[in-house]
Amino acid sequence: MALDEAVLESAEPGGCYLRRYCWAGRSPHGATFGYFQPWACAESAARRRFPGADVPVVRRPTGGGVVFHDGDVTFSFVFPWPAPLTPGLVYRNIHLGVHAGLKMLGLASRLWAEPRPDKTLRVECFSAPEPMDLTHEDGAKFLGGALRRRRGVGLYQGSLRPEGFGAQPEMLWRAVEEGLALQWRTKFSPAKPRPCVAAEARRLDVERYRTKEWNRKR
Amino acid sequence: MTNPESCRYAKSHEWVCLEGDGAVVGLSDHAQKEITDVVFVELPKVGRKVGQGEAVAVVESVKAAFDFYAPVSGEVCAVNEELSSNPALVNQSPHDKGWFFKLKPSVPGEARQLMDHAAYQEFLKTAAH
Repeated sequence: MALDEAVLESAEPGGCYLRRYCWAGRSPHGATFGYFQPWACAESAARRRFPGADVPVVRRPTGGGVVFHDGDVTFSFVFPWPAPLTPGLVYRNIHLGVHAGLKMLGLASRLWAEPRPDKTLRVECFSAPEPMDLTHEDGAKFLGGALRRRRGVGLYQGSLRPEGFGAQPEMLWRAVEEGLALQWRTKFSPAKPRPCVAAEARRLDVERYRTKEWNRKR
Repeated sequence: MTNPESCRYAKSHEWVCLEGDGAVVGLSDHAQKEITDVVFVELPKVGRKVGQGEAVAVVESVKAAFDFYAPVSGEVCAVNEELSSNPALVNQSPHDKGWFFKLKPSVPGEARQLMDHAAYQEFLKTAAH
């Protein structure tokens, strides 16, 4: 989370940055929840998903619902987002990119087009598809994401579930990389964060994302 | 209700309307339409001193959180509590019931440097908005 925000803050004009998460530390799993969600709601969802396990539950800077990270391909994408502001168009672009990447590898997906039945936010991101989510043919959601826009730059945090593909996560990650590169007409090269970005991420990690003040702010 | 034509606008789509020695702040009609259905709003605390262009509030719509910037510097003296229970007011009434907060400006003349309504309408025609 901290590195995502540091990259969002320091993005070069026009720059695109794609990052894949590894889940490490005291638990190989974790849960993240939306900026506006109540802590109690996210924590109880995580307890139900991981009974008896001590998993980190962290508030994201992006919107949306609770996401469980247990075997998913977790990634973030920072990109120019000048105008229009419409989030649906941004989701569509990102998810069309992944859709194209999967197609290049011979994997089918569907851009969910059904309208939302209501405007209320679902507690768990993967409980049902939202417009512009990617699903399998049977409507089972496998790609969900959430956004933050700051000073004309966007941050997308996404989770791709491998179930139902019969493909390894590495192959799905390749689809994400190649699809987003195609959709954004860019090329991703492996890189480490600049020292100032890494330092800012460490600061945000300690002063925000690991604190109760942040995670339990509501 | 604030008259949209008498407001000043920031490039980041906030409006400010001067009222006596205070100012009312909100999100432009154009921006609320683009952001679509607002489901949450986080407002600054009363008493907070903010600088022009500082991120002071957050709006969520369709799983996207947007930073909201102070169009002028000053001290927040009131917030629209109704938005916490009814954030849709931002969409329904962006220049009236959907106002965000009031502040006491601290830098005279800052609002006049922002776009007037006509200039904002022209700005919206450009690709850069």
